[in-house]
Amino acid sequence: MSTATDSLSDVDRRAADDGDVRPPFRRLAIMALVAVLLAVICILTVLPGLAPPLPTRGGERVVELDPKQVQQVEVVPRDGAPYSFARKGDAWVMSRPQGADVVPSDRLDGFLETLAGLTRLVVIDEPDQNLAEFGLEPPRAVVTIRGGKEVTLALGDRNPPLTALYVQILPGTNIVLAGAVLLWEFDKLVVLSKTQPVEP
Amino acid sequence: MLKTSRLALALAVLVLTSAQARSDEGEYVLNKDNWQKAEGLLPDPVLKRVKSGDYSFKVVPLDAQKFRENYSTTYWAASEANEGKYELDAETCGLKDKATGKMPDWVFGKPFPKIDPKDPQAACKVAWNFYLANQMGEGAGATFTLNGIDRNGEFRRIKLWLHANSYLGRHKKDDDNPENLRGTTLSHAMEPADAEGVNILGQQLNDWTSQDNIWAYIPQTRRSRRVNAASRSDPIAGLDIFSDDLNCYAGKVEYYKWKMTGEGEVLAPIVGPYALKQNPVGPSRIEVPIPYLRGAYETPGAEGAPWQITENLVFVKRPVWILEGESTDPYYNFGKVIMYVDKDMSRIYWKNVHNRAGEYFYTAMCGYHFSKSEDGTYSATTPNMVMGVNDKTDRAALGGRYSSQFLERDFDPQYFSLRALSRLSD
Repeated sequence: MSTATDSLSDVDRRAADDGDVRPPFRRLAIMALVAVLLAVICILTVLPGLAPPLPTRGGERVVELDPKQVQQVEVVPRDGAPYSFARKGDAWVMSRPQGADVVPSDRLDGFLETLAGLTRLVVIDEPDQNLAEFGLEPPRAVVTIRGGKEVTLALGDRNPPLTALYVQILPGTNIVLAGAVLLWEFDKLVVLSKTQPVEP
Repeated sequence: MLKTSRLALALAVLVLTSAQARSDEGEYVLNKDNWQKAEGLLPDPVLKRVKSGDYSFKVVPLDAQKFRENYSTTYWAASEANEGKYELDAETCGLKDKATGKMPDWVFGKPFPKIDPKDPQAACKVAWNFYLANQMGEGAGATFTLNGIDRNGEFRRIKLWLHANSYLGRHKKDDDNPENLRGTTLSHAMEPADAEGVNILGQQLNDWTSQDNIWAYIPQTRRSRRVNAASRSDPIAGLDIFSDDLNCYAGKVEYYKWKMTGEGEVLAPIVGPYALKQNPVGPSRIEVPIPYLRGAYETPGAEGAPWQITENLVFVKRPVWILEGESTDPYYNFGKVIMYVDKDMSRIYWKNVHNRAGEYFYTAMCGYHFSKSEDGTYSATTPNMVMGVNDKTDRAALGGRYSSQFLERDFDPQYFSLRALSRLSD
C-alpha cells in the first residue's frame, strides 16, 4: 500500500523526515509565481531595449508653431485681394471682400500642422541675394499666423526640381528651403479663396 | 469675282477651323511644342518634363462608354447592387458589412458606387473601390523586369516573376481561404546572379488592424525571415521603384489615413485603351497577350528621357478624384502621397510622393491594361507598368512591361506558402 511520501523526491523525503511536509503542487506554484515575476521584469526592462528605436527627424524647424494655438491666418497674395481665416470654436471662417464663409477645417489644420512639422532643408544666408530669382520679390504670398507667437512667412517659388519651396521668415532676410508639401497645402487655401461665396 | 474669292476664303477658313477642331479632339502627340495643352492634366513634375522635352505622350480620344465596358457586365451590376450595403469603421477606415457589423469576406463590385466628395469618408470609400477593383481578376501572374535607368541608359536589370491570388474582390467567391486572407503574392527573382533565388511571400489578412505578413527567402543563408510591412516603402534593390508602386498603392486601405483634396482630369497611361483578348488555355487558366512597352533607352534614335515609353502606351483624358494618403507607421518612408484615382474605373494613374521631411521626391506613373472574356462576364485589370521617377536624383526605374500574363481563377492556396517559398530555390 502506498503512502503519501512514496511519490516524494529524496529532498522531500528528508524534509518530511524533519517534519516539514510541503506538497509538490505548492512548490510548483511558488516556482510558477517566480517565473511570472521574472517574465514581468523581462517585459518591463529587457524587451523595450530590443525594439528598434523610432525614427527621429532632426534639424531646425522652419517655424516654431503650435497649430492648436493659432487663431488667425492672414494671406496677402501677389495677385488678388487679401483674405484671412479665423478660428471659431472647432470651425474656421474665411473673410474676404465678398463676405465670410465657414470653410472645411481640415484645410487650415492641414496647412498649419504641415508647416509646424517642416524642417529647414537648406538655409541661404548670403547677403544681397536677388530675391526675385527665388520668387520672393514679390513673393507668391505673405502669410501671417496669429495666436500664440505671431509668425510671418513670405512664400516664393519651388526649386528647379520642384522638391522644395523658397520661404522667408519675416522680418529675417535668410532664405529657407522647406519641403514642397507646404505649397501643396497652401494651394488648398488658395482654392478656398477662389470658390464662390455661399449664398445666404 | 470678289464675291467668289470671299466665298473661297470663307470655305478655306471653315475647312481649316474644322480641321483644327478635329485635331484638338483627336489623336495628337503631346510634347514640348504643345505642352500647354496638358496644363492641369498632369502633375507639375511631369508637365515640367514634357515642357523640357523629356517626355512626349501619344494622346488618343476615348469612347468613355466603351472604356467603361473594359469591366465585366457582372462587375457593374454588382456595383449597383452594393449601394447601401457597406459602411466604414470610423477608427480604421475598415470596410464593414452593415448587416453583420463585421469585415466581409467577399465583396464583388464597388462597395461604394456613389461618391459624394463632401462626405468626410469619401476618400476612404474611393480607396476601397480602388482596392477591390484590383482584385476582380482573381489570380494572375507574369514574368517581367525592373530596369534602373539614368541619363546614360540602363544601369541595372532584374528579372523576376510575380504570382498573385485575390480573395476579397474576385468575381466568384473562393471558399477555400483557410487563413482568411484578402490576397497573397509570391515572387521569385531570376536574374542577375546576385539576386537570383530571392523569393518573397506576402499575405494581407482580412481584418482592419493587422500589418501585412511578408517573408523573404535568401538563398545564400537558406533561411526565410520575416520582413516589416513598412519595407513596402523601401527601394527595391536600390532602384527608384518601390513595392508599394504595384497598382500605385499596394498596401491595405487601413494602412493609410485618406483625405479627399479635390477632383479634376488627368491624362491616364493605358495599354489599349480597350480590353485585350483573353485566351482560355485550361479549365481555370487564361492567357492574355500584351504588346511590349518599349523604353526610349532601348529604342535607337529616341529623344527625351531614356526612361520614357516610346511604343504601345497611350494617354487618355480621365476624370479623377485627387486623394492624399499618409501612413501612420513611423517606419514607413513616405510622407504625404498624392494620388489621382479614376472616378469610374477606380485606377490610380499617378502618384506624387513626399518624404517624411515634406520634400517632394518621386512620381510614379502607373499604366494598366484591361482584359475581358468573350461573353463579357469576367474581366481583369492589371498593373502593366510603373515608371518611377526620382526627381531629386533625376533617375528612374521601369517595372512590369510584360508581353504576356496568365489569369488563374482557381489557384491552390498551398501554392502561396512558406514551404513553397523555400522550395522555389531548391
